[in-house]
Amino acid sequence: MNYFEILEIPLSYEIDEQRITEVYLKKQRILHPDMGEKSSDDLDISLLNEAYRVLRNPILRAEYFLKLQGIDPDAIVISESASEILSLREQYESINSEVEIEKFTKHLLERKGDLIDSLYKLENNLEEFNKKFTMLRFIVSFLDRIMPDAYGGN
Amino acid sequence: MLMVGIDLGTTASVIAFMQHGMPRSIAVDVGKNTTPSVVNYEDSGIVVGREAIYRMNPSHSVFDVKRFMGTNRKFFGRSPEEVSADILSYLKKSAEITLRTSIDAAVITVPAHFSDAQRVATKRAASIAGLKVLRLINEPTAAALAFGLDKKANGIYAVYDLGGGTFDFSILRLDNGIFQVLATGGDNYLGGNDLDESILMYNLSSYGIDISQLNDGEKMLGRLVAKSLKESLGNQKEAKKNYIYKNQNYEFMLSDVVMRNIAQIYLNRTLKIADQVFLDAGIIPENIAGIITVGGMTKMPIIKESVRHHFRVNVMDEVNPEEAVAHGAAIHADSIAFKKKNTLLIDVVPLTLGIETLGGNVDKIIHRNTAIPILQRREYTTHKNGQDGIKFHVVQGERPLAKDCRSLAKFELTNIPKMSAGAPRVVVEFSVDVNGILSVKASEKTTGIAQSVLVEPSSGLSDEDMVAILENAAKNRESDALEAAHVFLKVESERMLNFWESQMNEIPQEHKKLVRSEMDLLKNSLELEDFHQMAQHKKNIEDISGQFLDEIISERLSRKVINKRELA
Repeated sequence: MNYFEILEIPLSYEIDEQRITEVYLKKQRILHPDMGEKSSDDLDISLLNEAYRVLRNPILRAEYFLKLQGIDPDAIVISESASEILSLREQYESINSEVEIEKFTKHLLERKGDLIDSLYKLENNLEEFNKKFTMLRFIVSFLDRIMPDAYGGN
Repeated sequence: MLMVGIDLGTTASVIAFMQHGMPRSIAVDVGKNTTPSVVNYEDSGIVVGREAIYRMNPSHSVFDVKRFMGTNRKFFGRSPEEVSADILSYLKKSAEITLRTSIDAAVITVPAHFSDAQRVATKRAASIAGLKVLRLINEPTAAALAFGLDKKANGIYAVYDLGGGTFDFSILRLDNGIFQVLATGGDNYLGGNDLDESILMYNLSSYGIDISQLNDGEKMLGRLVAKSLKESLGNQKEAKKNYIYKNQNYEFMLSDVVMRNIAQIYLNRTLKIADQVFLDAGIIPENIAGIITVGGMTKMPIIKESVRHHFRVNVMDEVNPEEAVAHGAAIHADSIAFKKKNTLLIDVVPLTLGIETLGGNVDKIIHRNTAIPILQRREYTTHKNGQDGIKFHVVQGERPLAKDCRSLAKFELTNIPKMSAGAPRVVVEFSVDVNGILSVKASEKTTGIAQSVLVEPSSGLSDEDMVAILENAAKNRESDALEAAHVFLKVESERMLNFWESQMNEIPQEHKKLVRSEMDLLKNSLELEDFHQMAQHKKNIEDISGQFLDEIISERLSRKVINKRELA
């Protein structure tokens, strides 16, 4: 069973979040070790938890959505995005003040939001979907790198 | 036999149980519901709680042991687990006397942000104290449970938990008895203690003294004076206390304005963490029904104001900030023990778990905020021809490099048949159980060679130490529970008599006569070995002294001089 089937929704990038939460909690009531009606398999509950985590997250969901349809997001070469990526890198390297970092981070966050929005319109055009997703993934990893970790060193 | 819930706090601990379907704290320390988490190792024996503060001395007192859980720090030769076990044991035995029943199992709470090593250490402390751990649950989740059950609340709530030593922020969905944690974050080194230290530093600096000039004992006393300054601010604009340092008297003071400025620094750190948790949960503040505040620090009005102002949401302070966590634990203990199906906790992994890869990067295997229980597999292979072993380093944390994360365990899968590089298929399996504790298994798929690793903290007690301590604890624990309770009651009664005998002059005049007569009755019951009477008179003395003990503790602190001999 794939994650969409586990959470009983159709295979689509756009999901009904309320619906998956309902199904998730309904299945938790059966599978969670504390509810123990039937002795559930660790694997069942793990799959349910992982399915819910992935489908609720727009980026993980996009990646999974592509993989399910036989597209490996790693494989694509994105000439169109290359220039944007290069320019973002250059911008980042020329930054030399706190204010500029903040401005740049804000720009990345906006770009991330726009890209996620565009995915919803492209779910029938997997090639375009994949291009946008690759760009999105670059932005996310870039953000991870420059955003100060809210937790500090552990 | 009774199942209890225990909040093993940095500065104070609470033990609670279910009575007629409602959680109730058990008064164990001079008739009060909270017990200071302070332990004295005196020649005459172990003293826990308010009396330990009263007799505190750097040559035998341990404060804030929770901050050292999962480390190999020693306190007078004892590990943090053993010191915590002494607190747990005191709570257990005192509660057994109060309720006249034996306690064998408990749900114990830990900060949501506690690492794997800290959780394992907490579980060990309980087994040293002779308590079976029904479950470790996260403090903010426990607080939500107490709140949700009481209010029959549904919707999304956040819990802001600022205690003596730790800060946690969790966002949960409450849905007809289900408590689903969506995300959590925190800092294990952020709490009221840090505030006390800042107040101490502020006052010392006004006399031109740097805190680094103080020795451990002077600092210990200074922090307590700072704490009592902070606490007396509640009712007035300004508070003053004496602090004695190198035989000289210094007047410490704290105004409302200064307090606010100091608190703001810590508050900002908590709000930054909370912002991140909202992001992780994929929830915006306006979509939550309210923020539940718990932890002793949230009694300060400035904290509630700031939280309300920052998020512009309802702040719900209906739960008792000091007891809600233990109450939630008691509710959960009851529900596990009697297999009740009306509540269900779905909690998450607080910190990412991963494996160090070549080049020192972390391969993240279980991401933070993944619901538990969870099992994840990852395949690895060899990178040299004929390589017959692979070393694994398990780490926990959010940073991309392994050296910046917390090291949990190192192990090696050996006897892999010699093949060309990349041919063996080594599967590593991470699983986190409902207590939030990790175990790791590795196996080679083509041959079936397997190796299970229980992830033991990289620091802390070794297995041999643990076995020795457990054997020793079992030996000291009388086999008969009733007999054990009687022995404890006798020892405690004698200690109490000696204590008040020596402190007779400190007892306020209006209570003196009553204490005296109860002491005579207690002495009498000791001679007769009348345990029923003994428990009664011991409790009477506790109830009476509970009315004035806090006051004389605070008074005494201002007078206390720790001389050089005591420090030696």
